[in-house]
Amino acid sequence: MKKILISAVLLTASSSAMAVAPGGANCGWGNMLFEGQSGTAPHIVASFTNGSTFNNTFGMTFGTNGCSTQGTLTYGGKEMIDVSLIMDEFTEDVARGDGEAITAVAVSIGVEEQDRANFKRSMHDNFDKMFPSEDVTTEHVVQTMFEVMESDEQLAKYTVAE
Amino acid sequence: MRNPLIILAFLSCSIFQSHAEINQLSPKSKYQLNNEQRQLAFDDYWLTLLYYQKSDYTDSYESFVDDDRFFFATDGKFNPVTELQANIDTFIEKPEFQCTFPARTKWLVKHLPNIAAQFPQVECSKYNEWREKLNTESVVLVYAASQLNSPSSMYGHTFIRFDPYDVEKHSTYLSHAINFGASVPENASNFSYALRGLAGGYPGRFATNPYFEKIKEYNRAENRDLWEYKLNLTADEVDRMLTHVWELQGINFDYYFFDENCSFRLLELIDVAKPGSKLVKQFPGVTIPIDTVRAVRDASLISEVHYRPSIRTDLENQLDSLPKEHRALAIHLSNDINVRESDEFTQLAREEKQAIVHAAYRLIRFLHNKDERSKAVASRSFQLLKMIRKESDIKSVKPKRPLRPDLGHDTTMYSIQLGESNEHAFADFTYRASYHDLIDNIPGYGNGMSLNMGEIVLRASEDTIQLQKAEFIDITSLSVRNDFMTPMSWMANVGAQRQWTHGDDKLVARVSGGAGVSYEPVKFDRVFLMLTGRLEYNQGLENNFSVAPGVTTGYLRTWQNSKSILSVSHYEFIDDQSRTVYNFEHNWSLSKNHSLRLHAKRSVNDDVDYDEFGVSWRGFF
Repeated sequence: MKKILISAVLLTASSSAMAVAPGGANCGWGNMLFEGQSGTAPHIVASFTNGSTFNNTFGMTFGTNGCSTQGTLTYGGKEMIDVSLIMDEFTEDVARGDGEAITAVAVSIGVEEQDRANFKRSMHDNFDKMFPSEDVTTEHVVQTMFEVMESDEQLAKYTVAE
Repeated sequence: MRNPLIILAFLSCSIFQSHAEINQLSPKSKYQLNNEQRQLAFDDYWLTLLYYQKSDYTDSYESFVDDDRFFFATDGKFNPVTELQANIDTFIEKPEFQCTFPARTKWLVKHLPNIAAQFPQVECSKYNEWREKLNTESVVLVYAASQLNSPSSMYGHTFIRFDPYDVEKHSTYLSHAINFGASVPENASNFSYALRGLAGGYPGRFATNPYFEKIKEYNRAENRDLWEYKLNLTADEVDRMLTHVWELQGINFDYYFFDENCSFRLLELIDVAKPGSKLVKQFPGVTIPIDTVRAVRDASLISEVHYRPSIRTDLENQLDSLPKEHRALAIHLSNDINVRESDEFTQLAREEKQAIVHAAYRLIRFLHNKDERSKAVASRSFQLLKMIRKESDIKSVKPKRPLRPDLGHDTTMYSIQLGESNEHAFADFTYRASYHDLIDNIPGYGNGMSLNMGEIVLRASEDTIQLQKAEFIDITSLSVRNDFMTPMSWMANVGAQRQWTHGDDKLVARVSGGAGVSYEPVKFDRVFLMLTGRLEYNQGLENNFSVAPGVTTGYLRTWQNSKSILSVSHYEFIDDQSRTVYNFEHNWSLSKNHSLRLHAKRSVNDDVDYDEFGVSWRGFF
């Protein structure tokens, strides 16, 4: 049986050098649904120089979240986009049944093009399960997403690391 | 928490090691180039790859790059020949540097094959990994439009996006953006930041980010629309660009707001991709982002344009599409979820209800985008989202695409005006370096935004020609207050102008500013009121430096193909002087780049009252 050991995954670091599992020191999935974007307030003069307040590198980061600066996060050893960074957009896409954020999540966990419509429909149908309340955490959302995929014949194959 | 310090820790890649050691290679190199080979150093492509500019007056060269790590010869910044030689020596003796500079290596292999045959083979795993991860098929030039109330964004911004193969079937969220911007220390104060940004006090660097971070930054946090111009580069051209982009990792250029800015550096990348396009040469001075988009368009490099409206554009569009009562209901619903139980709401058709819910959800997300989470707001957001989910077959309205910003009028304006002032005929000749005033031709520009920089007016009257006005900067931002937001409107200007003082027409210098409110009584119109202040240097006044509080009010009307403005402003000087100006202007758009303008003014001063009329032709180039 392909079964993700959810609790274990959340507590142990990934063996992959590139990606980091959430749950380590200073490293978590981050925000809850609708947490707000306090860190992205526009800097009144920031766009004068179009700069940023840190030295950017070419690290192909998908967000740091206190875990890693260079990798994506992992779930069950699987690399994927850190959903907490696009939580607002993702939630809305799941509610609507389509959109760029839900596509990005599907692509990032390797769901092939022919299975994406099914992926989106499954997420949409299970909205209430994934988002039981406004207090839901990203951890719960991701965990439920994989559970939903696990119970789907076509999507189950994407839930384990290759 | 995102921690910049952690990001800093990742700066430790090989290119950061000092080249001092390399620079001290024996000057008598075994691989000495002959005269003919040395001439290659003046090849356009070599000059482009190393950012050399030839001086207009002497035969000397200088590179834009301000970073020793970019050069191997001690005089490399100024000498394409020694730099060419030093690169060859380095690539042979320290072959790992071929991986730091893959574009140079590739070019040398092609043009000096016999010498390059001596380059030891190296495996560039980091570079290859980066290329593999980018997996780029196409390149998109992205223009972030200006945001009305942010002066620093008013000229817009550009950056580049790398799309993987078949991106339309996937998501551009996962594409990568490369941006050139200043690298600013965390504790920099806003003021010093702005000043040094203008003057070039910070190093500029390229950085890559996932595109969704850019979407969040511009579309969501700054409320700026994004325009995505897909470039029709061939696979070879894309490869050339990426090969070179890698060479810029961590390399410092000085950053200057006006010329060596984000947009200028991107043109260089396109020039590298497409040798011979020479886009950079078109911008010897000031580089305005939208002008670089136009240059790219005029070079026939654009294949497709995609519009990505900001969250605010989306919201305004959704609210505007609702009938008036439904709009009020949507705003009410976003504040109080119980509105959905009210008769007013429940009796509506399913589609009408959903349109209201969509707008209410967009509104609450917009208003609380930057807030810390509050229980009440989160709960309301969630309830609205569930309502969207329940009737998800009904889609929300999508904003219509406005005219592309690159298709708006050009940047530099000249005008000739004929008129009469205080019963004397005059002719005015005006040059304005940039950009757009409140009643200039509408398409492609934001409404209620005026940004004039570098305006000079010469007036010929009877036998004299005199400087009538010199405006360094003049900004007005009329951001409307409405049923869901209450921004401030403001204005600021610095310049010199003619002023009647004690019977004498004097040139005075002044700084003025104001803040207040504006509303939109009719779609696209603006009515505004501002409290103002003026500091004037005027030798005709008792105090040469004089201060005046004042007030300005006006009405801006948008017609089908023209705009007019009627305004009154009053100043009360501490020297017991007072001034009132009544002003009317009307601008007819004749074509994209031409307009006819009428103006009438009554100026009431303590000693002289006079009228002025004029008609002018304005052309943009």
